[in-house]
Amino acid sequence: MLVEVLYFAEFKDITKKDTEKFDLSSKNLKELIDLLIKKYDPMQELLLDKKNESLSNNISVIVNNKSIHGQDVLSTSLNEGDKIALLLPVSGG
Amino acid sequence: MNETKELRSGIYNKGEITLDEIIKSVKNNPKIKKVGSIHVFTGIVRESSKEGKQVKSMKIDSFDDLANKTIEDICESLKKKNGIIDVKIVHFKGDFSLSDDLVYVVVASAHREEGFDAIKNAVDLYKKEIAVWKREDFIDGTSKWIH
Repeated sequence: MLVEVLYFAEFKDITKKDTEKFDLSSKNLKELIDLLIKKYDPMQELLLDKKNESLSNNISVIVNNKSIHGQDVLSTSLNEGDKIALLLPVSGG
Repeated sequence: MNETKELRSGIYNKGEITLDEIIKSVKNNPKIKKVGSIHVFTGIVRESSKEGKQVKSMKIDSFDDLANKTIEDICESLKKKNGIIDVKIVHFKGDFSLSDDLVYVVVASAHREEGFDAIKNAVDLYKKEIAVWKREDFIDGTSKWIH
């Protein structure tokens, strides 16, 4: 199942890409986060909390332009063609 | 007869529109005769970071879909306030040098007091809520995304 990740700010600097597609088998966000960290080492510090157990409180997850809330964001179900953005706190000019 | 079209608030590429075009659009508002003051805020690139490091240049990145929606929401919310006739927020993205314009906020109000309040609110809200990020590039060769 293919999903697309949209990169902004640090994520764009790390990947040198605007977007990237990933093939998931488990259909949840945790698998995507694991794949991202496996492919891009510096993402671990940005995405995970200090114990590397859950998503950092600094990260907002957006799926198809809608914000995902809840205690267990990592278990969010994903569908074919979803566009996922992982956002750090904003800083307008 | 002024033929300037209404200008959309939102994210634009650096230099894509000018402050003059925004003010012309505001003055083309059908309710312009109710306006007694037009307030302008321009955010530009400063030579030093909050920590005092010397900035060489700046990069602005944005999630356009989300940022455009939030900017629209901020403008619509402020336009509901008493005495506020029009609000435009234009935020640029791209690569910027020192003193380049980053953002324009223009508020047209019936009286100056409402306008001063609204423009402060607009600036506070866009800085806190829109999906835009800035990276300061320092003269020592390092860079930092600001959060």
